[in-house]
Parts: sequence; C-alpha cells; structure tokens
Amino acid sequence: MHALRKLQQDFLGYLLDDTVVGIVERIESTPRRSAEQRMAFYGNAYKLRLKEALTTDYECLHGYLGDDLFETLMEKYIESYPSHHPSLRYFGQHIAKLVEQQEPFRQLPEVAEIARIELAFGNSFDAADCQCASLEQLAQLDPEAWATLTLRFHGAVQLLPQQYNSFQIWRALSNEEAPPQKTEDETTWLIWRQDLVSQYRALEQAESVALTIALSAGSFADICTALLEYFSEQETPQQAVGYLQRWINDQMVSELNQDQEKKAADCGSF
Amino acid sequence: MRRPFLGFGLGLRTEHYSYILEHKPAVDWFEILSENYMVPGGKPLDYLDKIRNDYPMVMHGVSLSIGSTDALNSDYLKNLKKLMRRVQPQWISDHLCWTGLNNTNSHDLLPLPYNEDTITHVVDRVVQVQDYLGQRILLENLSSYVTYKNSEMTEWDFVNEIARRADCHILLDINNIFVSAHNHQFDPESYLAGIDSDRVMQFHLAGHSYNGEMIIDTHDHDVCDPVWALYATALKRFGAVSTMIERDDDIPEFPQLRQELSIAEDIAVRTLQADALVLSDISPQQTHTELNYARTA
Ligand SMILES: [Fe+2]
Repeated sequence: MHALRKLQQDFLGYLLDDTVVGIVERIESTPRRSAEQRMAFYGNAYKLRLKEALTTDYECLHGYLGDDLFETLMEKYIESYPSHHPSLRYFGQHIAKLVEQQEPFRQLPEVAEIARIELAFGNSFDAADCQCASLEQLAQLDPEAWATLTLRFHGAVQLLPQQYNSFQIWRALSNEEAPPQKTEDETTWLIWRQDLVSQYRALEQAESVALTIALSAGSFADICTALLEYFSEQETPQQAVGYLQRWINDQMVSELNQDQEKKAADCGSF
Repeated sequence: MRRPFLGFGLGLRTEHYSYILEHKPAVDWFEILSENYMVPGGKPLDYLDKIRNDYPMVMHGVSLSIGSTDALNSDYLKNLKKLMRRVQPQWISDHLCWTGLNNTNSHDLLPLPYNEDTITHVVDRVVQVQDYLGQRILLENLSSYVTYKNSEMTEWDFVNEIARRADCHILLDINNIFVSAHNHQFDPESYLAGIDSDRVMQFHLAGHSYNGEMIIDTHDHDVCDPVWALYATALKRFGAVSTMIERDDDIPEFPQLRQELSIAEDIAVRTLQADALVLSDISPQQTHTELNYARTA
C-alpha cells in the first residue's frame, strides 16, 4: 500500500501542478504515445472538468467578465481551491472569496457581488425541503406568546446586502441582455424558494432590518423595537405582523417558535 | 446462477425529466448518478422521487474512490446509504479506480496499477463498503490512457480477482473495453473471454471520440458499430445482462436516445434465445435478493 500511496501522490501532484513530473517515469511509453503525452491527457481533462463546473455555476459572472478574464479567474481558482468534496456541485463555492482577494478582480467590487448572487441561487435550488408554517398557525398563537415569538426559516432564504446595482447586472445577463453600467446602489436583496422555484426581490430598509433580526433568532419584540426607527409606535406592530404574514405566505418560514425554553434547546437551528 | 435481468435502461439526465414525467416512455429502468442526488432537497430529489415511482432504478456513483489510499470517506458512505434508502435501487455501482488523495478530489476516474498490492488494498475496502451498505456492490472497468510500469497482470485478471476475493459484482462497460483495448493495444475479445461470467451484473454502452491516436471516453456520441459488435460478442459470452446507454454530453432528445436503446434490444433478440430475455420479477420497491449480502467471515 505504501507504493500505491506514493504513486497516487505523484499522480495527484501532477494534476495539481504539471511541473511535478515524478509520475511520468512510472508510466509506460508506447510508439503510439509517450508517457508525457499520456499524462498530459489526464492533466488537461482535470482542468477541463473543473472549468466546465465553474462555467455552469457562474454563467452570468462569465458573461460579465468575458471569456479571457473568466479564464484567468478559473485558472487562479483551480490553483487556489482544489476540490475537497465528492461532488462537483460544491467545487465553485469559494469563488467570491477569491474575487475579493486577488488582482485584478478586487478592483471590481461588483464582481464578488455577482458571484454571491449566483452562489445563492445555487444554494436555494437544492436547499433542504421543509414543512412551511401557515397563516392559520400564526392566527392561533396565544396573544401572550407574541412578544417572545421567534421564527425558523427555510434553508433557501438568504439575504444579500449589495453596494452596487449587481442584481440588475445579473438580471440583464441572465436574460441575455446587455448589462447596465455599474452604479452604487446600497440595497439588500432577498432570495427564497417557493414551490421549488427560486425567487428574489429587493427589500425596503425596514423589512431588511426586521428579517435580519428574525434570521438571527431575534424575537417579535426585538423586531418591533428595531422598527420604531422607521414607523410610529402605532404603526409598528401592524407593520411587523405584515412582514411575518408575507414571509409565511411566501413559504419562507418553516416554524413558529413560541417557547423560549424550546428555543434554547433548538439553538443553532437558524 | 441466474442473474437478475432488468432489461434495457438509460441514464437519467436532467434534460429529460419533463419528457419522462409527461410521456412515461417505455424504458425498463433508469440509472441515476448518485452524486447528483446527494443534495439536501429541492428539485433534484423531487424529480427523482417522481420518476422512481414509475421506474426501477440502479445507482451509479463516481466518488467512492475504492482504490484510494486515503481512508474511506465516511460522510460519503453515509450519504450514499441515505440515498440508497430513499431510492431503493436494484443495485449500486461505482468504478474500479481512485479519484483523489489527501481529501482532494480530482473528479476523474484514475487507473490503478494491476498488481497484488492493489488487489489486497481494494478487496479490503470493498468488503468494508459492502458490510456498511449491507449489500454487494458492482465495480465498473475504466477506460484508461496510461499503463503503469508496476502492473503485473492483465486488466481482466485484475478485475476478476478483486470481484472474486471481495465477493462483489462487475459492471462491464463494453465501450470502455473497446477504448482501453485501442489505447493499450490488447484484444477486446480476450478481455471478454477472461471475465468470470458469474460476476457480471450489468453492461454499459456509450459513444467515444477518436483524436487520431487515442480513443477518449467522452460519452458524447452514439454507440459506434465496433462497440455494437463487441456487445453482441459479450451477450454470446455472458447471456442476458441488464444493459444501458450512458450519454453525458451533446445529449439528444429523449426519443432519439430511446431509439438507440432499441438497437441494443434488437442485437440481444438476434443473439439470445427469447427465454433468456424474460425480465426478472422485481417489484419496484424491492432490491433483488442476489444483491443481499451477509458476509460469512
Ligand atoms: Fe461506464
């Protein structure tokens, strides 16, 4: 097994960096093809397969950067983030991180935002299924329980705070239209999944604040307190209930949690 | 042994989901790529469940990495078993290869050196996997582009020996035999003649491409005539074996692929006695007993 391990180390070493050629002397050359040519075949196939996965997952990013820059990005990514997962589905998940850190991409802050949008849609697509909470359940809540009410959300629900008009850029590209010029536009976008189809919309600041609190297990009372920044004392509870109803209607909420003790036991469920 | 015979199947591909659900085409079974459904939820599993309601399925994986010198990936095995419980497949297969090392996945099916060391190593791991899954698995022969200097036997002896010692089954890919025979200059019929018939449970057929010197296993073309001829030879040698066509690129419309599958059926009808082609009586909810596995250690 020791010899086999060494062979595999040399083989994988070559795939990750084709200047590491220890494997070549372990391969038979034939008149048809030399050992170098035979290994080059595996080296090319390795990169091609990973590039194909990135190209599938980041179609709009590819469209925005163009072929050459996207090719540079893929080369850098393959070098920096080898796959540690049995499925290619998860290979490209760190691409926004690379974009933020490496030249020339870090000069283009909207690029990481576009990458995060595509990643979020990917996550929403196959996030775990769950039972959704209903408006009837909300109506049946004990009035006493409202203050401490917390929500558990469907795994597809994701908030994307953006500094630029990246969503408009993404939307144009995904409709195969010319993207608008980059402009500053501080907006939080919401992605969720309804009847197995991913949805998205821009949030007003008040709703984005409320949802951020709810997603981090804040209570209905916490939400109301925060909303006082935006609404009068009279309007606030009604606004907060309105948000809750919409989230429930949109199949974003999996559970209404009115028991503080249970919530503590469920810690980490959000 | 009378091996279970599922008939003629196709690989389940996302491009064909709606067609299959709408038209319920006459296909005996589908082979799914296990990793595509090892996801938390959403559409992939929804389609899988719906199509499973109408068709028997087998599961085919690419990431078991049975020949790697890393420890077996227990998370992967856990997810595989979870999927197995959901799908209730007729059987589960993967490849006789390694795919990664040091927790880094190449996402390629990499060849092993054919020697005693590798056999001992792989057999031990197949036994572990079968113990964990509680059933025998099928291992598929690769198409490969290199020969290691420390290989000491033919590929078919290597495949047989592992199947015999690990008590597992063989998924014989007829196209892979053809591809490797060309790339390594061996006789594909000697390969077929050298494989233990009792171990063969399934055939793969596929198209390939030729780059002028090597044949590449691309699954992006129709099955070619020499591979159909080799398939006929395989049927003569092994009898009726559940057969499917793999298509992974340039995927045609479903009816066209279904049409290609009838070529396989026609060859089988011409080559074998009619009674050999009677489908095994397998209820969709039941794994065939031939796969049941209890190690007598
Ligand atoms: Fe195959």
